[in-house]
Amino acid sequence: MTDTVTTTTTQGVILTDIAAAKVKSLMANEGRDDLVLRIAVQPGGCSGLRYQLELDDRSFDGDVVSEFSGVKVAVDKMSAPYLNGAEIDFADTISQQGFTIDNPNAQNSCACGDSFH
Amino acid sequence: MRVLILSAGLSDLGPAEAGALVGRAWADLGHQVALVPLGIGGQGLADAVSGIPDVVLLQPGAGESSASVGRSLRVALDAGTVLVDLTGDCPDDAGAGLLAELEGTERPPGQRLVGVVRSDELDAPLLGVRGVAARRAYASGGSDVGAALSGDAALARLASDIGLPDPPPGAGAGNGLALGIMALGGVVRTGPAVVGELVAIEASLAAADLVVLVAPTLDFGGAGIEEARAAAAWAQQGLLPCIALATRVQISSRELRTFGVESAYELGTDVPVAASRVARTWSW
Repeated sequence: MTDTVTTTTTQGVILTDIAAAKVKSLMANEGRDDLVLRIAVQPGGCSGLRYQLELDDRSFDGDVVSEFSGVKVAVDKMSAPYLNGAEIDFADTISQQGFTIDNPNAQNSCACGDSFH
Repeated sequence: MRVLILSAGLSDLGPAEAGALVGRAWADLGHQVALVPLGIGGQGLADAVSGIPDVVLLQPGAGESSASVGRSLRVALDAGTVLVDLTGDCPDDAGAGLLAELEGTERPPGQRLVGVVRSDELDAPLLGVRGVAARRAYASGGSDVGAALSGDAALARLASDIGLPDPPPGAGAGNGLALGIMALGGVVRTGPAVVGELVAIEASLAAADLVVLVAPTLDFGGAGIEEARAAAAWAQQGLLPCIALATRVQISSRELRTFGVESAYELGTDVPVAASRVARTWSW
């Protein structure tokens, strides 16, 4: 598995090349190239907060937008403090499939991987 | 021996009646008994404060505007303490209607205004990911980031307009109605904390030898636990043993001891007989 990161920054989120390629292919499946990958933090889940990932055509005041290999990643201003330095990767192995988020701000995560605090 | 009974009621008796019934078991053995009714919120809180003089309790319901809370507050201007129960359904406007209704009304400077909250809302934030708008937008599995952001921005504007641009912890309690209460100089407290303040419980604790909690149910699902925590915390403050008597007990002694309750006894249907047995055990 390659974890090469196109842009290294401690601000905002980081999208690995593999994750960026996956996002591009998902957008191509939808026939769209104007979408951003939006990552948000919501209250909920067994550890108090959880992630939400979606392809979005909206932009909101205060969005933090970064670009990785041609893919724009947007984080709303409420979620941004919780996601500084978080790395979004895509795993496709026998034990793990889908987008993964490695978040240095999370003190604890739930076993489901979807919830943190 | 002096026994302090903290009563949240039994399954078919209100706090005062249940506390008196249990207290009689110790009184019959020649001990002195003091009774403080306890309530977390809702009817239990109403029962608990009904005997305390100069206190008015307002219990708002769900709805768009809190204006009716403002009208009730205006009627209660001569009360020494006004409690607003924020533990149940509350209006959606974060106190905007309440404040509009009271505009130009001079509240008496000595009047105490308290928002009564659940213990898990004592520090509830008004804004942000854990704030009122986000909780509302994402309730029941919703995922509308836009609704959360616009709701949060509206609440931030309201907070700024009413002079609380950096809303203190707890302002998000009661669906945000605590913000309006804080803007009027009020505070947020849990039900047991406010009852304790109103009856000056410290004096009773200083004189007591034993704290007895009376509750309808103690179970691992959470029923009675908030009352038990409050009773145990007070007992700890006074370095006193704390026991619990409940109509039904479905929690292990080990779990109860983790938050400071020595023993719990199930009273069943014959309360006087069961309470007398416990009183003989906890008597010196």
